Amino acid sequence: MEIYPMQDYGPAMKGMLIGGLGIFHVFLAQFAIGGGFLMAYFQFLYQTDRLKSGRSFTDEYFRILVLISFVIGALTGVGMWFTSIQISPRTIGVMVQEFHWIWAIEWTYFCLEIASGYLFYRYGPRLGNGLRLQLLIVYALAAWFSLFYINGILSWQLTPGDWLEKHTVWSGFFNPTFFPSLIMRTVTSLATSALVACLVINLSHYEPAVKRELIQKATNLLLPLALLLPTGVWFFSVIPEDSREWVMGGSIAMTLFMTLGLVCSLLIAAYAFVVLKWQKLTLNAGTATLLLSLAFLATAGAEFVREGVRKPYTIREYLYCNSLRQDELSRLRQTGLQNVDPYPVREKFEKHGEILTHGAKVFRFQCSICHTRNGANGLASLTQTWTDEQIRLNVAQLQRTKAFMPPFAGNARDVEALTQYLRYLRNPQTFEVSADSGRADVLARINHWLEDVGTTPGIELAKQH
Amino acid sequence: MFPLELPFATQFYLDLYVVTFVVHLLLMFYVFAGTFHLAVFGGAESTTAAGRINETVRDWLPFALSAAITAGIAPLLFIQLLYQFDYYTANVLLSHRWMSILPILIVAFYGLYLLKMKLFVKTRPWLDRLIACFVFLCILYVGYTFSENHLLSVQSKTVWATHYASGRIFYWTSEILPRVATILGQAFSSTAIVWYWQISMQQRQKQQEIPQDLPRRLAYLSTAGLIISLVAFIYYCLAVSKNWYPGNSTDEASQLLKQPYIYLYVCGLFFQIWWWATIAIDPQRISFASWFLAGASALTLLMGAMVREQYRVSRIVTDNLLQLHQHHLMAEGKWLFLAFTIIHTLLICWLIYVTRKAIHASVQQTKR
Repeated sequence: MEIYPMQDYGPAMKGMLIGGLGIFHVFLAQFAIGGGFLMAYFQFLYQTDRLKSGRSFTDEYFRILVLISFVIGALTGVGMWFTSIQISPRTIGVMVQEFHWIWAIEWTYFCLEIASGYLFYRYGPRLGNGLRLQLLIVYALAAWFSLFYINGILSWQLTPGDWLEKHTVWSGFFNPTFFPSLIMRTVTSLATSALVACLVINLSHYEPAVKRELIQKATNLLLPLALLLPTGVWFFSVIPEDSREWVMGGSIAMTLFMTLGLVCSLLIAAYAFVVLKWQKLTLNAGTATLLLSLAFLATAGAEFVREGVRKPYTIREYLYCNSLRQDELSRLRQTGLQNVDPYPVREKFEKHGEILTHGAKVFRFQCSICHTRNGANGLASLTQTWTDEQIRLNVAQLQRTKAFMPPFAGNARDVEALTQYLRYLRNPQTFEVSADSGRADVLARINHWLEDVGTTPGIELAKQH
Repeated sequence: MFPLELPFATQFYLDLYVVTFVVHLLLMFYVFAGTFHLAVFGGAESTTAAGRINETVRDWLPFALSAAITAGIAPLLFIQLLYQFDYYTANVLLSHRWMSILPILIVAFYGLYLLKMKLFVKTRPWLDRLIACFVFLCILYVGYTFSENHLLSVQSKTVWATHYASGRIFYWTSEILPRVATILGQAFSSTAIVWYWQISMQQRQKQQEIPQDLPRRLAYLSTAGLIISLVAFIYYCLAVSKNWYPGNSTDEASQLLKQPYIYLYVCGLFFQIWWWATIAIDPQRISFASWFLAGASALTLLMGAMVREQYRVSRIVTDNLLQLHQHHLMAEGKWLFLAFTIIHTLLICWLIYVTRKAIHASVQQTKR
């Protein structure tokens, strides 16, 4: 088993880093993808004499798209790879190994997107309508197909489907959540681009009547939001049952984020249908910004849920979130962790160095992917009121403590070392090792708990009950 | 294409990596050399060769960086497949220092847009040059960090553990500087050809004369860069063969010197220096020589990349990894990738063709 070094980000959870960047990147990518369709639509309306300012607005919108999406969007995309490597190199390694040709295909679409985009950006204002529309259609389709391919890889992480048996690319790519995810992401992209357009229109120098006309046309791209609810139901009907349960109240954080995403999406859709389309009112820059902020929050909620419902896995039924496979985890139960991790511990302990160093390694190896010591989701505060026996039991039977945590990967000595380390984190100055630590009867009891629960994942245990 | 006595699968991924990396490098060179020129010769009159180069690069730098980043995705994908564990470990060890190249590139990107917009050229020319200088340093930093990452990835597990324990996020070895100088020294030679072609096209499209001193200027810049590159490379080879760097063995160095790529690489450098010297003597030769120089520059970069990867392969690639490459190559999708590469390349060429044709027609119409 190859062990990677693990960096410490202080009070920040690793998930916060990748989640923060991921949400930002997804939002920008949605703007770029929907933006392509919006501009092609406006150019088409202009050519068919249905929107006089369609051509000039398209040029203006594209300048903003190039300045934001082609710069920050492109680099945060690379940043997602870099951050994934920092957080879980093993997960990204499996994804690349399995789907590298898909990623390579996606790259050819990026090239097409950049080429058509820059041709339009540079020469668009001097080109005839037909060629402008062609460039915009190629740009929009290239951008959308990049979504098509990455969506297959991301949805595979939650629902690998037949891939678990066949291990073929297409069996993983066209997985159960592929199509609902694709539809939801496409709809969201169109909505995001429409809201950005409304903001840009309001900030531009067009006459009020022209602004009104442009906004009415732009908000047509909000209409597909009607598909979001049925597609969401479809998505939740095909995800694993335990994942569904987390969202439906099993995990309050996930339920809250799900509610956030849902409420924000519904608010935008309600505003679009009732105010903009039924009442035929327009919207000002402030409202556009507010709706755009809601869209950002909806994206944040949805992305958090998408990442969260995979627990305890990063690749469902294949790789746990602590980067261990089931067979490796079972083996570590026998061999223990002590000599597995070759990287030294950076913390310095004044007393009880041996057991605390051991405990710190166990924490780093198994817990640090989702927990910090004293920061966000910090174990010092989560276990603050637990007795020593409670810590030992809850750690040994981790998957019973919370079904979305992986089973403990280590032996009784590892459990005991972690127990002492968690106690140390509460109050390092006054810490003393528990009087019964290391005693044969204590280790035998931990062993019994470990054997009692085995290495079956918590989500499987929940089904058995 | 580049036989290294490796199994087909590993060789295949290596070739894909090297070719896509060189494309990425050529585009990064354009940004590196362009910002250097703007920073150092930013005040040149627009009628001079330096001024025309400045005008041209200002206009194209944002696109060049965008294209470089897009082109960089492919080698980033193939390097992950090739080296897997060692590559990831170096990434993690350098941590946020490695990742800092991304915000730095974002800042550099906007700096290039400021240069393109010529906001300060007339009012505050010093600020314009300062921005160019800043972006140049950003690109230098990115290149330096890539070399740092590369060198850390080929170290032993003991070095990794020591580095991790220290908590440092910089990996320093005296190998980095000659390597960076070797690579970046070639930036001017390959970019000079592109500048020449771009200014020649302006002559045809906008009826702007090519400045007389342009070939000599390009020759001086390129020769200076190539000599820096050659000296740095000779110094590096000497240092490796004398075992001056910790963690390297003279066996590896002697193995490296037995391979043909290193000699082809040096020949490529000499060939380019010779041609640029002849252009400096007789500037008329540039239109004829530019094609040779472009080919030589690309081939030299390919050979250089092979030398570099040969060293990394010899240190990292194990039998287990060779088997994994074999397994990965069996994955579905490669023919589709090939098909899309061809289709999209043709489509891009067609879009460029029809757009240029339309622009040309509109220029002709305006003239009439």
